[in-house]
Amino acid sequence: MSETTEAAPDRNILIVDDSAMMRAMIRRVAALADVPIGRVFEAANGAEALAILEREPIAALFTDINMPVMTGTELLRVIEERGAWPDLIRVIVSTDGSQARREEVDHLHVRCYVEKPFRPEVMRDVLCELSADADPR
Amino acid sequence: MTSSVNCRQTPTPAEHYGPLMAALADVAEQSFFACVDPCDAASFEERAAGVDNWLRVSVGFQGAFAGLFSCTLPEPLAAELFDSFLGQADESARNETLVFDLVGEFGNMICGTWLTRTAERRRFALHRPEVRRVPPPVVTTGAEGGQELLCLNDRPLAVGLVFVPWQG
Repeated sequence: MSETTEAAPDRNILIVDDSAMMRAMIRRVAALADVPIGRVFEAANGAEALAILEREPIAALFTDINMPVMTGTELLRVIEERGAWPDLIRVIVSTDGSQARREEVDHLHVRCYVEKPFRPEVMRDVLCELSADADPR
Repeated sequence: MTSSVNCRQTPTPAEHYGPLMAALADVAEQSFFACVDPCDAASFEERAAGVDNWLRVSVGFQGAFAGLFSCTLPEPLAAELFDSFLGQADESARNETLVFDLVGEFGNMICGTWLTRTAERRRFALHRPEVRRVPPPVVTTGAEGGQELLCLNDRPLAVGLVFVPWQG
């Protein structure tokens, strides 16, 4: 769907949400987080996200669950089934924090489950943690 | 066919307005740095006077129970929430599509937060938020009113909640 600048392909992130405003908010938090990131890609649903994953190196995926066309859960299942992105860090950002939903994605190698609403510093902390893992020196 | 059992299982809005208002206050504070206050009908009408442009977000939900959440707010408040959400006050960044998107996400977060807390271990589904322009709301109060009146950043906000009988 879209992307922005800076070359550090091992730190590229992909934001998947059907709300353009939520994508913009996460992008802004990422930009202000004082964490080294590469290009920021955006997708409005799981199908768009898959298309980006197939053509771009992505280090971390931030996905909503409830989206048209292909949900976040469906996206994570496809990623799991294909096995093509074993190092991809997967973060869910969703209003649905129910235990039932968490259990549904439990086996899909989700690293963090961030419930909306979240304070910007929560997302910053997630980015910092991911960055520390990517560069453990 | 609706049975008496189904009728008993359908909750009333009055049972849920408290948790719903708590969810709204948390969403307002955490994502929009906004403050929610109670508002009586007279205060609501006073604040709503002269505001011609209103938006309403409606979010359908299904799960342990099904229904429709709605939130009606003046467009100037939507613009304030827009700026707060992105942490900037750039009028040129606002357009109708994005403001509608933001109001939809506002409703989505309120409904999702409320249901996450209420549904406990049960799964629920949220429909895609629908945002549209509406006339200034008619203030109705009490058990028949079907809406809660609030102030958000000192601006009026009306919240509606309707449950439908379980069709399962």
